[in-house]
Amino acid sequence: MSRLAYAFDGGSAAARAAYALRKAMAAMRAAPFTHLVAAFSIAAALLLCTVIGAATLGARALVEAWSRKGELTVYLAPAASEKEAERLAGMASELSGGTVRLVPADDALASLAASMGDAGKGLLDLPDNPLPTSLEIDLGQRPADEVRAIAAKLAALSSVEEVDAGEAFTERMARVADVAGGIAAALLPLLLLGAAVLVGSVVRLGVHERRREITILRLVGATDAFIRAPLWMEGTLSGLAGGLLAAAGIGAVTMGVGRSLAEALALPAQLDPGALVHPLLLGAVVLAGGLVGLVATALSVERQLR
Amino acid sequence: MIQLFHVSKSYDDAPALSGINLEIDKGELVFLSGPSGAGKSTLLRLIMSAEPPTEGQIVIAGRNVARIRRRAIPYIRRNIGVVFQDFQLIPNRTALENVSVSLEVLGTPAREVREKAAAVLEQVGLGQKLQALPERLSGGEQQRVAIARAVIGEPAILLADEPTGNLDPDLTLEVMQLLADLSGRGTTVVVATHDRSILERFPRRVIRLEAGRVVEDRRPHEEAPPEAEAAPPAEEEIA
Repeated sequence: MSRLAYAFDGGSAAARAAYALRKAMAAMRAAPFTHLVAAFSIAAALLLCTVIGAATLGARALVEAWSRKGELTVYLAPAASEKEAERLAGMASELSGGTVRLVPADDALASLAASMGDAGKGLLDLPDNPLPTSLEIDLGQRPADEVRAIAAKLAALSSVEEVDAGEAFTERMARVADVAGGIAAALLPLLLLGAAVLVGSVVRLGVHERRREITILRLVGATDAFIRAPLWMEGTLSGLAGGLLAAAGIGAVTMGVGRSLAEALALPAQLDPGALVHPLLLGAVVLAGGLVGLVATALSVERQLR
Repeated sequence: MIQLFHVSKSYDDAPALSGINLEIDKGELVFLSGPSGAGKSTLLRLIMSAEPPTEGQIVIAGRNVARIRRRAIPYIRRNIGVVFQDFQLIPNRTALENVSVSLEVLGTPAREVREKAAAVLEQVGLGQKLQALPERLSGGEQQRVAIARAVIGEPAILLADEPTGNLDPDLTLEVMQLLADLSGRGTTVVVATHDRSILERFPRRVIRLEAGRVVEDRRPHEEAPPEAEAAPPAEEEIA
């Protein structure tokens, strides 16, 4: 019975972990190409996920910021006199609590012409000024509902023809962001699933090649956990390698192409690609790679080991 | 050490073993003999918990392994070394690594594993071939590696299924002598063989199977085959 007691001894967890790591590394060395393909597929999926996800979140943040900006333009009726315009400016200031600037029709035309450069010079020769006198109101940071309520009150004033709260633009942008988010939400799981299936297949192939070894391990008393551990480790290491590649890719893309694009398009801060190069985010990408590898391996080899 | 009570095993209603009753003591060297298909390998597979019996109870060192939970089987196997006719070595691992697996599954630290594996291989005469892959070893050497792997964990029981089936007569004697030595040191050894020369050369207890039944249980120096059926144990012994 003393011999039986020896065999039931738990042994060293550290020794088992070291064994699993050694075997996982050996398996990766034995089939470097397939593991590299698996790592690159995870890297590609994570890179796309991160960039598309960040762009979608950035676009939403931008739309949210725009909707909170609280800038209104009140267009007056062409018949409104200069005195009437000044009266309306006073009322608008009182009603909105914001800063009101009266923009006479001539100033508006001159400003538009100036913004168009040489092409705008023709505007100044028009027989009639097509632009109305307007009031530009800066409300500061306000909730979108409040901005809409003020716009409605101003629109009800006499001699006011139209109030532009920029809603049409922000709503259009919000729709674009929603569509992009929807596409990302549908596409990204597929990308991750594809990468996970590939990693799982690579490890499963390894299990198939090692089936004789696994049979022998069972014969000498290996538990299921002991047999699984190196396989799970292998999948996790492949995933971590993919995560590292993705992090490097994110760095390269954002610091290279992303920065040039941001400068060329004068992108706002919310869409600054440089924000992606954050240690926490890159660390999360690496960990996500490891998690994808682990879960994919665990799911794919479970049935095979039974 | 090993007790079987009314053990039967059937595959798709075809009986492989029927009503086997046996008791094998600690340190005994027992031969299972009989023609091919007699049930020798099936009996060994039941003892090593590779599969459960259809009926009956198998008690190993006081534990009823016939009704054991699947999760507990690895722990039973750690007490049972197994040697096969085809050696069952891992092809891409060296002799040292093949022997090491028995200790690695126990969570033994790598350094200790290496030292013990080298020592056991030295004992079976392969001290110079620690790093050799199985394909570089002769049949006898491969079988000695398999025996080293089976005994490195100091199992209470060693099961050998036609261990000399692929060996020439000289190597057969060599391997059988190793198994006899192990028995002499207290390990219960059960060898399935149909090689009559081994039975003559090593006069030990012989259990003869035919068509899944024990037809003879002859101990050394016994002339007539006795009816060596063990009495069932009390319930508390089985539990």
